[in-house]
Amino acid sequence: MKRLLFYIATVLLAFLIQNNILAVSPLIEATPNLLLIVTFSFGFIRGKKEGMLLGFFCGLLMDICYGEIIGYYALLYLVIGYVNGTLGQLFYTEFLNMPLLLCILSDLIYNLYIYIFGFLLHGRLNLPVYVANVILPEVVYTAILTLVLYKLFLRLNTRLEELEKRSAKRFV
Amino acid sequence: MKKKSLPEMRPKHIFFLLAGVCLILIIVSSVSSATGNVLRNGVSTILMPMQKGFNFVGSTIFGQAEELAELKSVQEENEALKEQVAELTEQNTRYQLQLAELEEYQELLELADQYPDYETVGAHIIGKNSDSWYTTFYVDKGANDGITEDMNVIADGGLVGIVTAVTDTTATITAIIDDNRNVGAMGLDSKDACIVSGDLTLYEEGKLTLSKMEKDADIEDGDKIVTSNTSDLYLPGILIGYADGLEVDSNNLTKSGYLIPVVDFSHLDTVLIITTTKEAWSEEED
Repeated sequence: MKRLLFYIATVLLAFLIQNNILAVSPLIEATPNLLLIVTFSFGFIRGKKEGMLLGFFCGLLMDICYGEIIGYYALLYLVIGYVNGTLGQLFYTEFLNMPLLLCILSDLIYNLYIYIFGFLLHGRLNLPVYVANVILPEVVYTAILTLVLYKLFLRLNTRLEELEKRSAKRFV
Repeated sequence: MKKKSLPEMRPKHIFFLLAGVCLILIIVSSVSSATGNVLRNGVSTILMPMQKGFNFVGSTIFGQAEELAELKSVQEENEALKEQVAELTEQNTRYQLQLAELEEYQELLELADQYPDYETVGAHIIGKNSDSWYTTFYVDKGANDGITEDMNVIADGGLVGIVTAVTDTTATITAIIDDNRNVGAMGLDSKDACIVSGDLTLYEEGKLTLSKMEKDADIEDGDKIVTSNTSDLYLPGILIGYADGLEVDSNNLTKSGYLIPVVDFSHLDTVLIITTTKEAWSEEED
């Protein structure tokens, strides 16, 4: 229950900061993708199931507010949550550059998906220009924020796990 | 515990289940927008006050930071603008005289207003798609204020885009700079038809593509381009921008180039939604 509330609050906060504050501000050129950070961080820390459920709802929020077609972003974030969940089972969590690696991998999946389905399919072949103008700035900003946020999420997760253990003991 | 008595679903199965849900949603919502609107309505009722609040906080903070940064350049700009104002005031009086004259002639000819003043509703942009791939805005007016899908949106005297989704209290606007958005357009003076389309690679330079106009069309660089009468979705006579860099295509039949929009899409904060759709307008005309 506590975890569910925590997830709802985190996703909402990330969504609101990302789209209603950062994206609207004319001072910020490329907006870091906070929802992506939430999805891959918890996917990696907590596993496939939570990763993909979080991703699915993050994507659905984007679809509902900004998409013409519902399901487009939901599918994308779902895949990212699942992939990172799978990676979480294969790799060691405390590896120093792991979050950065995950961020770059997730961002690549994210941007390639949109490029292929939203752009390549209607004949936009000039991938290098998109890489330079759209993908790279976003990856850089997102990566910088990952360094801060991943640690925060990891710490919050340990706190939550302690709380869960404590309340479980109480009921036994 | 209840959970344990149920057979646990394996992650792989949940994944395929959710992916299936996504695919069904994609298919259903691309066929009919009504299904999507049920979802949109539910969520936007809860989220809209929060989005408004966050947007307010953000714009206050960033607004002040930007004001400080801009102060110096604004002072310089002010000087230049003062000169321009003097020049324009003089021009304006001349035009007013000419306009009065024109009205007289029009009355004589009993010409109906070719481009009626469209009725508009003002809306505040409270959110923007954070993706650089797409340019869609989220505004705080919806079906309750009379907004419907396909309504045209303007700001700064130019075309911004079109309403693509509506809930009771909010609406989503897709900008004309969005990749693969096409607007049927024409030269203001010559009435020669052309197409304005969004292209992400060009937008970085602040341009859109202008294409498919006949080789000998009477449109030159710097000419005003407005929405055309023949467009399905856009009302006629709305200024889009200015033609630039026109060249004859290699097929030697058509001309194409760029369009510099009048609207500054990165500094938008309020927009006007025209409350007549093209469909309703054409029916009225008939």
